[in-house]
Amino acid sequence: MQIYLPIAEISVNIFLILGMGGGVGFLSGLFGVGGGFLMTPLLIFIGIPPAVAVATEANQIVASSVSGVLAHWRRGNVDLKMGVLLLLGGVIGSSFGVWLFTLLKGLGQIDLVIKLSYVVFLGIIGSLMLIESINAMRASKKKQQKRSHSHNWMHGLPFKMRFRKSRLYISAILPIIIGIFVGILSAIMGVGGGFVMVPAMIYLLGMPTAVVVGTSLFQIIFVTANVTVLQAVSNYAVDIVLALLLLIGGVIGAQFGARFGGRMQGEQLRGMLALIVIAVCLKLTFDLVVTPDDPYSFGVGGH
Amino acid sequence: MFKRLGKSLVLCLILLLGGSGLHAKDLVIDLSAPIVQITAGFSGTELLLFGAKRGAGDVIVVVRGPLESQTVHLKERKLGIWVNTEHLTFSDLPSYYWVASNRPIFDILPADTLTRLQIGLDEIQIAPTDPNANPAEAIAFRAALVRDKARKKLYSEETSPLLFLNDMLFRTKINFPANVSVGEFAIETYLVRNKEIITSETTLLNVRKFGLEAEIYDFAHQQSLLYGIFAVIIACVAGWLANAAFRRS
Repeated sequence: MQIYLPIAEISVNIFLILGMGGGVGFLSGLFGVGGGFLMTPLLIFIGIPPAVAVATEANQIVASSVSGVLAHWRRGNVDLKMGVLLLLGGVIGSSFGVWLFTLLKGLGQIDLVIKLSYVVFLGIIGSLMLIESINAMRASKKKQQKRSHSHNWMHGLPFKMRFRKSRLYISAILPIIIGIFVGILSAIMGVGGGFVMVPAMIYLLGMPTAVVVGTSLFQIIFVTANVTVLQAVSNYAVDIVLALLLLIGGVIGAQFGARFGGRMQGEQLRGMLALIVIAVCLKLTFDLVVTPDDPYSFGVGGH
Repeated sequence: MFKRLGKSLVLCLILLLGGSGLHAKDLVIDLSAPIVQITAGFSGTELLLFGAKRGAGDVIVVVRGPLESQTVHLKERKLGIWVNTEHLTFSDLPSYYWVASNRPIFDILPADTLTRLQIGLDEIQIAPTDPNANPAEAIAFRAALVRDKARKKLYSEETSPLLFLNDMLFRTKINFPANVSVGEFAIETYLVRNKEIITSETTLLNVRKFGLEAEIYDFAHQQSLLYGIFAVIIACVAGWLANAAFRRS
């Protein structure tokens, strides 16, 4: 059954979109990731204009993060103070990111920048995760481990604040910088940025793992909401119909994913996720390197 | 449905042509629908064009979509990857172009007339907005643009058949793909005798988004800030509902 997407202005198979939402939702429930980094490239593969894919996916992430953060909030796993600082950076970063996005769109280079960002980030994250999970599987019997952060130059920065939930006393500048960086990624790549923020919070800030996911989800809600509104205003690229379809599939998929994930081991899960990330990265790289069918590409409107 | 519609159309056309000759016209056409509505389930559509002519002659029908501008980018391999390098913008080209005739258009009209009236894919005037563009490049970019339009079924590569039912009546089908632009389409019908245009008729066809699709599109473009906020609110509510459902199960 075909459905016409009013903003993407193409006709797509409704079950394909629901299925993609379900599949990525399953993976995000299974691995506990947002899934934006998988969904946006998938949307581009099926012919949704990259600008619409990025903006619409940001809108969908708002929904999945709201549903995720509520669960963490109830368990007291959200560090509000840290979240607000990350958010401050996130709003600055994502506003700059959307401005950059509009500029690059005008230069005709946005598609390339989106794809290249994906190749670089998926490549780095996927490789790191794979190495880490292989090491973890090898060393799973050995006991671990030192406290993950140590005192270094970062603790010499000014504006120190106390974060009770995270049991940290660090400079406010650090979370703001991380927020800015993730905000830019969010605007250009159509992702929540959890896959960059979570490692940064654990390894750079030294936050306890329990509060990391809830706090990053809290930040992601507001940053992706900011991206959604700015993309709607400056690029008219948010497709509500597409977002809703993805959402419905995603919610159902995530339920199954979470149940299935409970029965598997952490290292294996991370290893599998790493392979998926690398596969998407390779596919995107392949598309950039291989000679296109038509060296010309077309866009409505002048500039 | 087309058959019944066709019969009533034929009746109307005969009445319109008139026997008396006072207000009679040499050429009358009508469409199976005056508007094309793009709704949620829209996956392209087909319209039937019916016409009646007085006397002998060939018929050419040209359909042009609303004008648009298009930017064409050329990719080149740089450092191993394909990057957009040069671009040209073309303005005022028809977003849709379709021609039908009862026999090859080159046999019906002389080349200069075809050029003047922009009949045929090679005759559409598509010029870059930049007057200093390299002419050879402009030709290559134009060809790429037309090729792309043809691939998307927005330009008909070949002239579609137009059927004569008898000496007077003719009909043809116009195909609109799912990605057709919205706006006013002009349908020109020419009656040609001995390589000369006897008369021509212009009919307008309105293609528009209809129902929820149209409202969403207008909302997104006319009140984009409100639309963005609305999209966020919907997402928050959906997320909350999903969480509530999760908890219960």
